[in-house]
Amino acid sequence: MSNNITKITSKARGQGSISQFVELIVPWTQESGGVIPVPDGTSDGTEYSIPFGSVEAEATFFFVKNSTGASLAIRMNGVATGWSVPNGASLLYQAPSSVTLGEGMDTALTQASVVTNVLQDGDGSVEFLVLSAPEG
Amino acid sequence: MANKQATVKWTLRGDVGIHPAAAEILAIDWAAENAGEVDIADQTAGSTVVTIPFGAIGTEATCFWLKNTTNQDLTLKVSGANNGFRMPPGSTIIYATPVAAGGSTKLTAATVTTTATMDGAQVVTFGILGDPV
Repeated sequence: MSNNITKITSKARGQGSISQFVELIVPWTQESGGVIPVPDGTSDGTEYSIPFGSVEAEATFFFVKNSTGASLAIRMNGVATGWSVPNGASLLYQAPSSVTLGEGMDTALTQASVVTNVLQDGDGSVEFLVLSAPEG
Repeated sequence: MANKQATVKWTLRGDVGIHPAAAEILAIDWAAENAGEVDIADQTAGSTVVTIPFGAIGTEATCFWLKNTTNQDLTLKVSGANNGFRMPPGSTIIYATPVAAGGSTKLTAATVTTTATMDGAQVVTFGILGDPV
């Protein structure tokens, strides 16, 4: 399979002096995207894996949005990161190339999960999209 | 001081069209900002920790944007915790929240760590908004 090419545009504009514009070309061959339901009454500390599907080698694009109504913690490669994503918030990572593999935790992004911080009040969901590393 | 508001938008276009999960517009409240470049000198050793300055943002970041504009992989820590993976040259990570996280999990600090001896003078580019009132 040849690489697909995706253009990702990120903008942050508004009052004040910051006006950021990012445009990256992200090659990819596989994708996994969708919505993970988080049912009413889900316990605090419940972990939901983000399905990487056929994305096996490395994610060059990762997006998650919290629509649960409460904050979520993010785990990357099994590591409890410092990201706490409030309701309505998003975390996006994008890379135009693969990493140079290291050892231990210094590695490529191959798995992720979200963890509830409180008892889920009402049905919620988590949106996600993962694109794979390029071929060759 | 009243809040200012920023709009964070990202759109993914290409062979998959515009993916609904990645066509986002978020309104971010903020009252303090810091943005710029952090220098990393030529021959900086591997495993060197470089602090991303939060400047006047003393409570928490509601928008955090960082791009690895060096020529080597970097690892990222936010609020003291490892991010779990390397960021290759040219990669970007963006966090944006319409509401403050508060509590012990709010975003208050970030660092990047070199993974090899730096080849040439390089910079990391960043933008942070925060401290909504």
